[in-house]
Amino acid sequence: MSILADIAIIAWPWRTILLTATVIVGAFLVLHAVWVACTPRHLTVRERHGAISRVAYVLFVLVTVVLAATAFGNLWRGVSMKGYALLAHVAASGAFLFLLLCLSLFFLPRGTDRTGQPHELEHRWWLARWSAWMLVGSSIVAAATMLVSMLPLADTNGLLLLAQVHRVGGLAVLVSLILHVYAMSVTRAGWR
Amino acid sequence: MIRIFPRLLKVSLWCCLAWQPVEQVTAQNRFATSDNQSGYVHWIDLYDANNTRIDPNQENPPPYDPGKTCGRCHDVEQIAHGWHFNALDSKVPAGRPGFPWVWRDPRTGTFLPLSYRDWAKSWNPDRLGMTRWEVAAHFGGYLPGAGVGSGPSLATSSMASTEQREVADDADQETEEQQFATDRTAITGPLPLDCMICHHRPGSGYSPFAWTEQIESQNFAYAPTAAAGIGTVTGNTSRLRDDFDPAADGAADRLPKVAYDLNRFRTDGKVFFDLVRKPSNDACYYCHTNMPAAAVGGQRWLHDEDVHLRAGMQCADCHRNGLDHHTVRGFAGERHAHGFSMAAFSCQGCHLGEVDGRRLEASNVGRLGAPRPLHRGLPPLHFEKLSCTACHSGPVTEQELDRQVNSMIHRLGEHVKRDGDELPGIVGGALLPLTSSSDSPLYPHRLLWPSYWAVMEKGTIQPLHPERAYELVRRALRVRRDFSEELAEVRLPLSQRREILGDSRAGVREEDWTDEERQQIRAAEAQLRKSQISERMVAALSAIEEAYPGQQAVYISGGQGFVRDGDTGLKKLDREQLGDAADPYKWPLAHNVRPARQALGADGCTDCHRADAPLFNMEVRPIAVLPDQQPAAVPIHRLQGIDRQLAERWNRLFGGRELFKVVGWGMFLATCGIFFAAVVWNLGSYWNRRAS
Repeated sequence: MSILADIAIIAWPWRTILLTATVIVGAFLVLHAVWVACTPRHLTVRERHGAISRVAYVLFVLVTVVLAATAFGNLWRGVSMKGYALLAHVAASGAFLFLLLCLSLFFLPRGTDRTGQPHELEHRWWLARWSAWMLVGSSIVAAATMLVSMLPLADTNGLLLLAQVHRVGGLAVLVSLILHVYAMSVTRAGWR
Repeated sequence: MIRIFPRLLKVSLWCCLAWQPVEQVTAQNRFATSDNQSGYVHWIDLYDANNTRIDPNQENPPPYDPGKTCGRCHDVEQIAHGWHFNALDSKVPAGRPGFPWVWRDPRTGTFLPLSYRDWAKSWNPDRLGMTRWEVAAHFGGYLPGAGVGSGPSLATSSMASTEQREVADDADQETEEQQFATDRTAITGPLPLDCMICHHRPGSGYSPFAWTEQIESQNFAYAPTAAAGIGTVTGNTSRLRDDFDPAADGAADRLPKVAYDLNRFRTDGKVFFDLVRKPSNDACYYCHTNMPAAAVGGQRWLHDEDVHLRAGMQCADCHRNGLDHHTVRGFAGERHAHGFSMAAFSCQGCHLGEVDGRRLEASNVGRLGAPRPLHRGLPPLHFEKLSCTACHSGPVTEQELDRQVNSMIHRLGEHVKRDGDELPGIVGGALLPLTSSSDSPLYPHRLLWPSYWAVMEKGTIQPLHPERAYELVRRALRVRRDFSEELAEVRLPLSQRREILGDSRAGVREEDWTDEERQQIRAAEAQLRKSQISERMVAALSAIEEAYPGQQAVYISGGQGFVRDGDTGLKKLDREQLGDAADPYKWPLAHNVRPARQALGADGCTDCHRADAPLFNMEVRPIAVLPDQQPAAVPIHRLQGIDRQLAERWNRLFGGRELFKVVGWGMFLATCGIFFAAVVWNLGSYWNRRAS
């Protein structure tokens, strides 16, 4: 628990954390996009997912954007979440749990031994695979911290720690989602 | 190497910050101390204000002066700048609003919250033209002395008044306020600091109420002697005329007299002072008693004390101080005048060992055995939205706010009959933000609606000096003692009773009236009362307007403002004209702390998140002073700055919370199952490929 506390209790203000994350992710994406654009592979891509999966993915992205905007918007301003932002965050969290289940069911890589098939080419690229793992993994952490805090398990310090881990987990979800959307876009373009 | 720099910086900063306190601590050490935890037995000589040892057998002995008596071994000068004395010191951080000094004048229905500290919605006595002496005489009975009544404070006030008078004389005019401001410093002398009011041992015979009585009699210098019970004081300085000269021939005979109890003196002339280093709870309670109005009149046994006190703690365990007497107030973010950290003495600091995400030093955590709170199952967001006291302190949150009485405001300590409806009305337990910032957590507050006479000039309402108001309105109001009671007092003339009841029944005693007759009489009395109040109030407001030409007279009460409507009627000022002049003075409360099982939320989320939960649905009804006034109730969510519709949406959301928990956990566990199955599947595939 104390190790978790050391990781979660960050002395930096959240504005700095968000700014740092934005700069790192932005720089990575720009540089990587330039590199990918310079070295395209022109692969053939076939649609693997059905309409339901695609709708679930789009909804998941939207819900995550709502969650991130309501949470990090307030953290950026240095205030706690309140009013309709909080209501939207809580309401969206239910949808997030459902869509997370759908996403893990439809999109988690099912093994690396089936990559010979041309319509699963996107799973060959490391960024698409690992960002998907990261996305589901961090989402589980973000969801677990809030679900656990609803149960009579943690004491006050534990609850405060869970809230911190929830924020860090939420940031990881956002970063993973950005990377995953980027990776999906690149693979759908057939460049990787 | 790089890691050393932040530490060096921290150490340097600490040294800079610590330098001042260390210097002051050194300054405190110029007096010898016993330093034994068993304390020091105080067999001491008494000294008068001239620093002369008192001989109790001498003819007409002077009263003892605690400043000179205690000051021989204690740094009284340093002590006299502590929290209870430094309201006038603008350099001392005001901190969050605290208990105001409420100027009471029941004759005119004036209950005005005052403070020299910069607390919102309180008035600074200096700006109302009150002299420091007036303030000391009015409030000194529930203060430990010195402070506003100290020599330097009174001298400053006198000098300011003299200068103002000279300026006014030069301009061939004297402001109306100055005529009524009183300064009898030359007769009473300064208000002495009485160490014993806090440091007496309960049961030692010291009587704080004797102190109060002496201050009310303006026997400032005699109050410590009378309160300590070492002598009896006869005489009343308040009966001396304003032009009385204490230095004149024969004047001494008219001043109060002290007769010391010789049995209290040892053969060597020393007196035993039964005192304690750490003030007892009872000493604090004398000025800081706040209790439900329902607890007066023999109902106190139904109410509990603060859990900390029941657990054996003392007020001074948390509200502690050094020799500088900067008593810890104990709220989050408090700044000590000398820079000491007080984080450990707030609720969070003591119970959690963590303030604003920073862990306190191990030596500051869990002091006095403070248990760590559990809050199991409480979403942590609540720690940002609510202060600790919101759920744990004050009266249990109900639809009606709890009416309260306070020692300083309602003169608890005096032996009189009370019914709990004494004015000014104070209500407690309203959960409100501390500041107007929408990010402020909710704190339980006490509220007091001011009532006073004022004039409005250019849209600004300025209260009148209460004595000035009394002089102007007393003839019109025809009130001797109690504005609310006497203004409402009506007696139907016999002719009117005859008209209502008929000649044969008009002389019948009240007990023999029929219900219908009683109802008719009550209706006629109500009508008469209404016209009496209106008539006298209009006359009073007219009297003020005569004295202040070109300005509109206003009476503020119960959150409303009243002005003259022509020559016969009263009308209410609209909100725009009234501004914030009638807004309640509100200040957060921290006690009594209730047991955890009585905390708000102990019975689950629906304590607050349900359609009729008091937290967002209670109505705050101002308490009015003007008889027959019906102040409009204000929904609490408006004072909280909370959107009512939003609160209702939350309540609806919480209707399905239990189901959400079950379904949410179900989906979450299914997701975890798929995730770990996928992990195992992929790892299996990986090992299979490696093996092949």
